[in-house]
Amino acid sequence: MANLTVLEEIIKEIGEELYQRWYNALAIEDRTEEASRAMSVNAGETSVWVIQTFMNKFNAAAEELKNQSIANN
Amino acid sequence: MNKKLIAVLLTLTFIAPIKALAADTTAVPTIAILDTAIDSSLPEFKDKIVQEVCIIDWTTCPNGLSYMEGPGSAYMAPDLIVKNGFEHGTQMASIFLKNNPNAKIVFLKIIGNTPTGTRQVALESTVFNALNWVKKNASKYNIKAVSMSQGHHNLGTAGTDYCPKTTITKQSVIDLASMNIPVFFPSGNGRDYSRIDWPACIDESVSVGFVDQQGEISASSNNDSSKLDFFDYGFWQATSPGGVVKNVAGSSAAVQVSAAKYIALQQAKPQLNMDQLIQNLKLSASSTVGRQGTFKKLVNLQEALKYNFVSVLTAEQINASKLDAIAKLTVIQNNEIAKASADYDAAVLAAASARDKAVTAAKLKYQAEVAKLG
Repeated sequence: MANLTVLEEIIKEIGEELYQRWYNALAIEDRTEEASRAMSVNAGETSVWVIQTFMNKFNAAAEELKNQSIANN
Repeated sequence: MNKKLIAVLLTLTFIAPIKALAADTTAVPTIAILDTAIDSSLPEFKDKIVQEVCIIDWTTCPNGLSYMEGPGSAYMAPDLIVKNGFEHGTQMASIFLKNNPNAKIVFLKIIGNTPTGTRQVALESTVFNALNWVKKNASKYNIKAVSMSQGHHNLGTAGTDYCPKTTITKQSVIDLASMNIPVFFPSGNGRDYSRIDWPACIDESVSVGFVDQQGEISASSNNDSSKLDFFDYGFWQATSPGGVVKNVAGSSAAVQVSAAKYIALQQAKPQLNMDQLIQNLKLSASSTVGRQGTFKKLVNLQEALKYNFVSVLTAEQINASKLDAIAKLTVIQNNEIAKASADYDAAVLAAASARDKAVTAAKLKYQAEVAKLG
């Protein structure tokens, strides 16, 4: 297995955590193979979306801050 | 043994205050330069750096904290100080001393660096903290001016009130001006002919653009004719870390030149306050021409020294001095009335006391006579 970047590792962990929480919240009779697969895909996509949105906002804020930084003249 | 101990204690008692006095009240004027870092080991800085300080928003001062004061505080390793623009501070100090070798320097490192020498972000808070340090330590180091050859061009739209509203820094500049300490900032080198960099756009600061070797305004120099105070020479051979001499150009250099000339004028005319000295420099400035026209803003120290500055009082100042005189006279008058009143009261008391004594004596005499007859 290829080495994961720190960000990929974080996304993977969050996705797994999210899946586990969703799965645990399901009623026993709803815990089917199909539901599990759907939730796994959703959890992965959700974690990617959350992290990507966070990174975009973070980078925009950092860029704005960089513009306000003084430089040599 | 005891005698020896007493002798040592006496010696220390006499030496300690003398040393403290020597460090605190030097007559030599000092400039506070806020910049990247300095190679203070260079021969031209020998006995010229009065103090080194590090004030940054990161914990990357040489002591691993965000604040440090004392020798080595503005130090960077020789392999890092020559990269990423960190040689700038050494060059600025060098240009300042070329223009005023009689002054000394307090150097404040305000730009942090990572362990690999990358420049860290420095925001308004850093500038504010550094200016506050100067406020607190101005009299200790005899600081007569501040220069910071740094800025940014993240401004509002041209033609509007474009200067970012940085109230705390503006207040620090005002506070320093009230202490007769001007703060010099560069206009920037971005060829913007209607806006100058922050913090030079703060009206209470002294903003400086740059001219070339011929005394003509550089096309690179930012300029806002309503805000810019001065132009000065911006092309110099500056000593860089390790003693390497390099050509530098920009409003950064011009800032150091103007600040050096201001201090020289202040040394020559100590009776003038900061406003009068700046006014003196403006009235004696030379004309300089550039793409944006001709401006009588090129600092001319020789003319400034010759210029017979006569302070003309405004109607408001005359009124204020009248009110001041009346207030002083009222105090004198009230003191005299109080004194006379006290003298009168004392005299009345003394007379009453003498009268009471005389009455008592007469009574006693009368009683004695009555007793004799009885």
